[in-house]
Amino acid sequence: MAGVVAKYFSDQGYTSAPGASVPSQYFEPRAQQPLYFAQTMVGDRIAGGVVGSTGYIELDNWDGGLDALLADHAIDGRRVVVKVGRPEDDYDDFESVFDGVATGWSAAEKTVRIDLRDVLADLDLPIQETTYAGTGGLEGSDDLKGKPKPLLFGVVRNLSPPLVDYGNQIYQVHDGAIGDVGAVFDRGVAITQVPGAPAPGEYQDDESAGTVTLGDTPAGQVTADATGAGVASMPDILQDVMAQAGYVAADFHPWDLVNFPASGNLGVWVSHNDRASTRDVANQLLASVGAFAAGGRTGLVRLGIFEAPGATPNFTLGTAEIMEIEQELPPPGIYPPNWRRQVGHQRNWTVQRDVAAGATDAQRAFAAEEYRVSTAEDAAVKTSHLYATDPPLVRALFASSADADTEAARLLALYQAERRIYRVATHYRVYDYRLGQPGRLDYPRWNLAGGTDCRVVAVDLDAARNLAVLRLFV
Amino acid sequence: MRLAWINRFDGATLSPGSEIASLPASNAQHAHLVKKWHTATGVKSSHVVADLGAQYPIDVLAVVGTNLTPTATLRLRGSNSDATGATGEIYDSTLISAGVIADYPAMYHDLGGAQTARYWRIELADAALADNLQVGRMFLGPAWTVDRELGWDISWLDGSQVEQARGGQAWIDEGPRRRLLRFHINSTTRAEMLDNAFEIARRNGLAEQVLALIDDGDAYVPHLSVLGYVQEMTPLVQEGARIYRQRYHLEEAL
Repeated sequence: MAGVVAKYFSDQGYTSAPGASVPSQYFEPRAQQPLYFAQTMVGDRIAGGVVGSTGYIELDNWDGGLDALLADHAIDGRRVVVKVGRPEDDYDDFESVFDGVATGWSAAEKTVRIDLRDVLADLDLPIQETTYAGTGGLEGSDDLKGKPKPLLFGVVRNLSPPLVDYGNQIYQVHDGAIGDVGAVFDRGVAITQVPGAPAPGEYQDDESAGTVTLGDTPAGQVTADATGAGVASMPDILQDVMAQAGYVAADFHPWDLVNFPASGNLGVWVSHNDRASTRDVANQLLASVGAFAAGGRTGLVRLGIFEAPGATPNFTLGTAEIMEIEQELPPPGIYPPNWRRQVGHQRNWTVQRDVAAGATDAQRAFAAEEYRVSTAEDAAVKTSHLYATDPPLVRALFASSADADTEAARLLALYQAERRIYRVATHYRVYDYRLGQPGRLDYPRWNLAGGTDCRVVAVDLDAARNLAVLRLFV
Repeated sequence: MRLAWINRFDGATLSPGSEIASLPASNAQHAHLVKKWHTATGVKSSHVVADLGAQYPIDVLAVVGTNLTPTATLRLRGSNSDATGATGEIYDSTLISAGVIADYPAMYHDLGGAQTARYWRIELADAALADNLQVGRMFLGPAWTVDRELGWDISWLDGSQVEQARGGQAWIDEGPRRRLLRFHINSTTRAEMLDNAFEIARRNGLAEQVLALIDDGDAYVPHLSVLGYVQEMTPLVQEGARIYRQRYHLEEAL
């Protein structure tokens, strides 16, 4: 196995100038398909999570010239950059149209295919790779050995921290510093917080270690209300979660961070018994606020709330730009239109049926239900749509009901309207489209004449044909 | 017309006067013209000595895929005694115009008869270059003089793709353009056709480049001369008593 090598390919052959950032480099003309890349927000609903992506580059290998490369090197996880420009352009004037990673390569007799993912591929790694050593103290006993240490982000209620030191009755809510542990319950009965060493019926939190210490052995299950060290609202809490996979602030598009709508506080807890990926946790946060995270073509993470069409359009597609167009039904989650939307809040992370008699009625009621539900509805939708839909509860992570109320109303307003998706193929500004981008669609059919606001919800980029196939939400 | 199909330059050991490490003179031995030999930054005059390993007859030199301009000059020398080729006791073109014309980045030189030498020194200079000297491909080899071609036609092939939008507007995905040279050759001797035309097919097939040099003594040699690939394996036909014919489609290499 040789060291890390950079390889350069092109579709027509290219040599960079001596003064280029990649100087005097020959780009071998093997790229039959310089870039196929697809991203879509359309699933059983639109948005509400990390956007999936697939892509590939196909290289000509008729001569077997790449055989040795495949035999001697691995490509998974390596950075891949695709740039577009004219043969006479300076290399540094080429525009970056993809900056992501390879997930692997495979060879056919005449071609080599490099499979691609966007920059969010690392989210698939486990969110917590630090495990208990089982050596006692905060490293837990043999019973915890090998299990991941818990993680806390934002505001969380009634989580079940693992007992890491039973001799000293120390429970851990987070692997690291936290904001505080505002309440601890023994079988639903609140224990008194004290600043010093706890006596029986008391607890003390250690905000730097992310632990609580009880004054004596509890009667039953110990649960806690806790707050993480970081900001609990989006997009900060998402950044903290993604930091577990190595993403730093510079990996995000700065405009998105500044302009992301205020979300209210959220909270998520990853138990020591949970082997979740960072993507799993990010998905919960994004779904809570109807947002998406996507790997941008310049290699930055793009964030946004999926909103109704109507913003200042970034593009207009008319008959002069449309090569093909057809109408598609929206996903089942939003078609037929919704007449009711429900959003959860104040998630209870430990559902309890055997709360002790000493617990308050409020705590007993809270502990029995996983979610509280905010509802927005408009029965009038059912007048025209006899099969108007009532999608499943959004299992949101809001700390307050008011924020869930707002989100439920927003979702209803967005999806109670008659929506359509148009699949449009165009050669116009092929590399400029991004998910969530507002535009206008002007076509003499389907009531689109004169122009209708739309948003991009999927992009299939076919560089070999210089073609973008968009799905536009109208 | 001269047809050449054995490129002695490809197997030669090269000694360039200047090159960039990542873009060496050996790039001019690669079939892809876009893979170029670059002299160092600012070097507008340089040479390469090709040691053919043995003495071989040479009739033609082609330098294609270059950035040479009409002001470029060439000096080609052949030697058997001097590994630098500078002695030029076998052949010396003297300093001559390379014959490059605008928009056709190639030069062709007919030695006027086979010259047999091992060391060939190719000197190129062009003060009009913006920066360094670039060469995509060199061809140095023997050639067959075809006196009885039946005529030729030449055209441009365009790799661009054109599609129409729903409104009828054209969208162009511009691709590279290359020339297609088609010609027939005939001969009255069986030996001439079998030793040459039939040999081109056997040795080069569709896989190796062939140089067709059309030099009718005017300024259009670069327009008409093509280094490319035979596109179709056609038969050598005896059309009648002492009449042999073969057809060629030669598509320019890029």
